[in-house]
Amino acid sequence: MEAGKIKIALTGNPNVGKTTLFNALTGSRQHVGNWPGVTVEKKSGSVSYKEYDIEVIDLPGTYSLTAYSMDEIVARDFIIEEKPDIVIQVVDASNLERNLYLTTQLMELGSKILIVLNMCDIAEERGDRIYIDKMQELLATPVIRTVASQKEGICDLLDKVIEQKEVQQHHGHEIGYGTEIEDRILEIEKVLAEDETRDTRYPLRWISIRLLEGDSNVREKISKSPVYDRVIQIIDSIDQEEYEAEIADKRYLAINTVFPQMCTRANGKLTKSDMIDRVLTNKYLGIPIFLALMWGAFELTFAFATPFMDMIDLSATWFAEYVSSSLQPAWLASLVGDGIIGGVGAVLVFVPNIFILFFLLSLLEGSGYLARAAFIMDKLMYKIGMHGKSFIPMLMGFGCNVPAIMAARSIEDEKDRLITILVVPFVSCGARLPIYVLFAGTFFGRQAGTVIFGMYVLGIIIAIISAKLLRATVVKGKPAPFIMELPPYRVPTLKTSLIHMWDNGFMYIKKAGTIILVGVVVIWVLASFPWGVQYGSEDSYVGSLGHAVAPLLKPLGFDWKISVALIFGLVAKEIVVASMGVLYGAGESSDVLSDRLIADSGMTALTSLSLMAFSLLYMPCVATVGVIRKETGSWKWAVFAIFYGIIVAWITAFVIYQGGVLLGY
Amino acid sequence: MDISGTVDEKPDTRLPMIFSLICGFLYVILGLLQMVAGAGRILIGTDFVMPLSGILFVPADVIGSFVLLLIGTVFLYGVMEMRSGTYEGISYAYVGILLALIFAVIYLLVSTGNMLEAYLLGNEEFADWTLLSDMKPGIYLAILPLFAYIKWKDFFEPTTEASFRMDLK
Ligand SMILES: Nc1nc2c(ncn2[C@@H]2O[C@H](COP(=O)(O)OP(=O)(O)OP(=O)(O)O)[C@@H](O)[C@H]2O)c(=O)[nH]1
Ligand SMILES: [Mg+2]
Repeated sequence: MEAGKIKIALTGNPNVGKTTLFNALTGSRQHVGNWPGVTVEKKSGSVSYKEYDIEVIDLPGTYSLTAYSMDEIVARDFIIEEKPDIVIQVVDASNLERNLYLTTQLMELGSKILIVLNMCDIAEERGDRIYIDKMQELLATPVIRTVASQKEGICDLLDKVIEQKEVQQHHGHEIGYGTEIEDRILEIEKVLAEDETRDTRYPLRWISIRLLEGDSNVREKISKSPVYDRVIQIIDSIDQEEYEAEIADKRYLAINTVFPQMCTRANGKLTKSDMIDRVLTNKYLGIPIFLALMWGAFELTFAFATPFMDMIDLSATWFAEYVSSSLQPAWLASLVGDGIIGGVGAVLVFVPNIFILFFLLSLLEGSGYLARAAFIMDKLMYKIGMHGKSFIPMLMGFGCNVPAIMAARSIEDEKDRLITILVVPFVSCGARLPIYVLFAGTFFGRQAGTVIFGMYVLGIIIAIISAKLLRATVVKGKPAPFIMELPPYRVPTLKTSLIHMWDNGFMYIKKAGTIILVGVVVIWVLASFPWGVQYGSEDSYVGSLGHAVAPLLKPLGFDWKISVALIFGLVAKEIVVASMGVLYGAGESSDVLSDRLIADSGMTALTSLSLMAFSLLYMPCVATVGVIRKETGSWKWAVFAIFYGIIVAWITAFVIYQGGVLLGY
Repeated sequence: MDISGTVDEKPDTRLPMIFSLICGFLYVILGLLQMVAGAGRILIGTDFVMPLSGILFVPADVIGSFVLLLIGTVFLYGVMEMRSGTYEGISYAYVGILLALIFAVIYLLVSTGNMLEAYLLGNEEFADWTLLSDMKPGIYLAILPLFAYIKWKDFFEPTTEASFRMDLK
């Protein structure tokens, strides 16, 4: 190994500031949020410091290394298999005791450990005192004080990392589990050692302990070993649950012995967070407050953005007109004017909404309210057959379904996780927002904010009903009990929120310039050919395509142009709006898209409602289908999600449209 | 102010209680008015005019009325708890203040958007828009909570997660 290279891994409990530290170290912009389970995949970055190239890996947060959830396996396998030079455990100083359990497990992994005492600002402000020297001595590991959010202690940490790289592997402290268990551990270790072919990256003591604790993941790992049967014999001879409990007890005992020596805490009093939680998680007021805040957020997303949208819309329309009249030949003018500017412009109009949406979502995440929302909904969710934690991916889905589905990884129970993955696509994401804003804005005027809010609620309701359905049929069983740490409330920093807003908003713009642009050009070509037909008329290819599916969609109130938009929307939902822009963009009129929709689409408030609902539900976009496949590990569920979505969408839109017609709208 | 003051010493909750009572009633009453105005508009039609709605700037907005009622309820819930001697009832006053301010800010931002529409873009739909068009109870009622916010600022200071026990005089 080269002398100048160091590889370090950041591990620790969820929400202790690992990613914040990672960003401070490497200058990256990984997603930070004030709730447990933000990071679900390992991320790497690097920093050059004093002639060293330091590679930093940010791991998902874990309370233990027990392999209860996917996160824990990811973190554990990384530490053992990739053997980083130094494993850094980031510890929340204001919650030290709860972080030490992981420390006891890390010590057994046989890596060089360094403890970062983060969030010292909070602990100190509260009046806790932590004796760092004593802590280093008791844990036999170096301890560094940091405040990652203010980049304090970063250089100290890097200096320590370099220093530690040079020292020889010293033997850290280990926890003794009492004679009976220790004898068993030795016995297993001995048997395992006989296997010459074994994977030496795994410390024998650690494997033995894990086996005694009944870790099926480890069991599987040694299942190919020639000594497997003998090991299993030993394990089967003991009362496993009793051993597991005993081992955990011993760890807590060790923590309880060392903890009081290294820390004195200020009097436990009611904190501000406790007081706020008393109200926000109140039995009766919790859900109404949540709904009211959500409504306010969508009101804002719509109403505050309107003038900015109008500005973009006006300039796009003006630009399209200018291009159409000055470009030659006519087909080129039509491609650029009707096609590209009309289509991509129709999507770009909604950039202000998207920015506001992501800004508000980041407030939701950064304040700590997200975790409360899950907590409030847990009771209701449990009745429906979903885990309270599932509510977090659902709310994240308001931004984009793809990371939301990945966020489901922090759900321990496999069935709970599967259900969450399958219902998250019904949650309305940012890409669908333009559809609502366009149609609600066009047909509902001042009520638009409320109609949009209604669409989001509809998405959640359908998701919840689907969960119930899935529980009753394909994924039988009961949700696991809800255990989640509620992080303290924080005032989110403007900088983090702006970065979050910009990064996500920019992705939307980028999408408009790539995949949507391609989609728009394809639609334009199909609308202009065969040669000689009138642009976008029924005789063009789009016309035939639209007419082919229109009968299926007619009961929902859609004509052939909408059918075309919906077909292309399968790729990315923004394309629904883009193709409206292309198809209704023809002609000399200088009106903005919404006026043209009223003028020539023959749509009414009712059809627009049915269309909004259909677009919301009718199938996850391509990227979401991909991530469903990846996260469930099979095409089966991805295909299921597609068909299930289409059926649900059709039924819902049918009920809305036909119901409306019956009521005389 | 002694931050680490003893736990048993119960601060005086009279002032927050009176404050919550007033705020609670105001929000609930105007919430009800707004609901009647909104429901009347839906049931009877646009010529339904509720008495007082002109002077009090009560819009015909049912959903908005739920927000007012909710804020009012939070305040009154706190009064109930404080009356029964639970010091923690004061939490409701704080959250009530926060909610009142959050919604006032939302309404003000929406109104700013409308102002841009009217004056900057000259949108015809907003031709007769004036500064008072968007005035509503959700905005002017928040003045009282705003004063309270300033007075009890320590609580709302963003930096600390410190345990605290405040002087409420
Ligand atoms: N006051 C204070 N807040 C911090 C500090 N470090 C991080 N935070 C905040 O703590 C919260 C969690 O930070 P993250 O970096 O997302 O935590 P994480 O450990 O990566 O969390 P997971 O990915 O969920 O495991 C964020 O709201 C940060 O702004 C610190 O030193 N002091
Ligand atoms: Mg993280």
